Amino acid sequence: MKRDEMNTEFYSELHISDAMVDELVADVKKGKRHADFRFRYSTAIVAAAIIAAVGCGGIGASAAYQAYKNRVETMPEEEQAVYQQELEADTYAAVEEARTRNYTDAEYKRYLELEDAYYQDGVFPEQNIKHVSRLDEITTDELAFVEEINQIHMPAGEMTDEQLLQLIDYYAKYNYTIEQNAEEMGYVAEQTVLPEEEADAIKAQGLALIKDCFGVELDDSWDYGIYNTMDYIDPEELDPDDEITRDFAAYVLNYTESDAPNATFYQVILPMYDGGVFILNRAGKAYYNDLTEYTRAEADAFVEEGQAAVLQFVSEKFGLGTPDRIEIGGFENGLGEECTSQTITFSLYYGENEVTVDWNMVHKMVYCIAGRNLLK
Amino acid sequence: MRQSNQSEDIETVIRQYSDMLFRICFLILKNEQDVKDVLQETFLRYLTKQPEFNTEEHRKAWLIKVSQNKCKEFLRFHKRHSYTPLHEVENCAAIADATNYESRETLECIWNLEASLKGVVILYYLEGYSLKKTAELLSISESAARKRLQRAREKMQSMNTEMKGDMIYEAR
Repeated sequence: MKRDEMNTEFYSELHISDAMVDELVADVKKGKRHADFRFRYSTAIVAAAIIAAVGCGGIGASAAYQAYKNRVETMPEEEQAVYQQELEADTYAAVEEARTRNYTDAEYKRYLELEDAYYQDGVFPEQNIKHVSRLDEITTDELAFVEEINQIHMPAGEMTDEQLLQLIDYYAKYNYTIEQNAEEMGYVAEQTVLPEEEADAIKAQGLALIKDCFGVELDDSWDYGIYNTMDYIDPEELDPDDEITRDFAAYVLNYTESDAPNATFYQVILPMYDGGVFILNRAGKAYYNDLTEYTRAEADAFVEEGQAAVLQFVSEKFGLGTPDRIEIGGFENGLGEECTSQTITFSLYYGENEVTVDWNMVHKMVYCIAGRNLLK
Repeated sequence: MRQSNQSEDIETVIRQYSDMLFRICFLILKNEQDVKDVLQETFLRYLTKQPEFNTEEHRKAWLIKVSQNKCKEFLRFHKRHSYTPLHEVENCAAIADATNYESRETLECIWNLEASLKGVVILYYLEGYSLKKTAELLSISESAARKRLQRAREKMQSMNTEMKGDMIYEAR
């Protein structure tokens, strides 16, 4: 069909009402978000949901983790209300945007150490982070959430351990608030109940892939969860002939080292249908423990080394030959804006088939591989 | 002063682009209030990010891209309007004004397409973007956009045949 053959008169007759435009202007100027939770932190909701579900089964909470749980669960009502209010006012897409400055390298290193101490040893700050209305209520060296700018004000100087712990505590409570909201909205993922034999087969396949591709052998101390993506689709939408349904239908196998939100994490997505998308991914504190990021131009210095490593990886692990074409990316955020990154995404094209591999420039390792027809 | 300039700017942008974004999102979400929520999120994002553009076309593309991402987020969690038949929302302001036209069959066909196909049809056929730009705005590859367009044509052809057998297009 050519474009001019479609009768599109109706389209030019669809209009927004003047009243709605006025409402939009008024609400947006006020920075008001609508009442529905679904737009806020959609990724965080899923992450919180998965963590919540994983945390419910398996090995059970350690004593230290229990200390953290007690801390967030026993927040006074007034404090909970403050976090809820801040969550509702949140308009940031990335965590970094919600702070007045990023960490220094030394601060980030110490932050990671203290984060472990917070979750694993129950080391908490002596005081809670300050929540203030206006910037003029704090000094330049204070850490505080400031309502006026809707951001965390970071101290001008290097942060102390107490300030870093206050920040870790802030994020722990904030994430707990997200979890609570997700639960209320019914977004908490539940593990799929599978016959033991089927679950064992999925686990065995996942563990073998993690060992073979990443060289990591996970033992029984690792907690796991199996999720069926089809549990989250309206049954009326299921159409096995539909390309998107087929792409989406998969078992998701998550392995986490501990209950802590920053735990090292492996994920294997095993497609249910031939030609569906397979993904193998690793994340968490063992892999994201450095602040270094590069611009696209700076990453040029790593492309040759990364590409050689990636081609060797797909050849050894998945028997793939030389691709017809290779594209390099990973330096755009979800809105198509240029950003810095720690990983280069190599898109390898084999005819119509695309395989993407994320290679980390700091650790010089493959972090993620995704593609169709990779599993024989 | 800066705040006041931002306020004026966002009002101008909302008044200039909300009608176009409304049309696109309404066909996808099928509900005026949901569209309002998506537009509110889109313009808030604009206000927060304060993106800079070389041309108005670039600004328009940015807004379409963000609103499409917001529609996707919305549909990921809420499927309740996916199967809303056109006749059930005919009394809403947007549709009521557009009921008497010959192109109702086209609207009905597009209305009943699944969201992923609809996005391609709207941007390519109704907004007049090239296939490459359509793919870019939907964050998909050009070959995926081509496949979706082909699939949409086939579905629309079949729907149209079912409705009245009066073809509004040919297979190619």
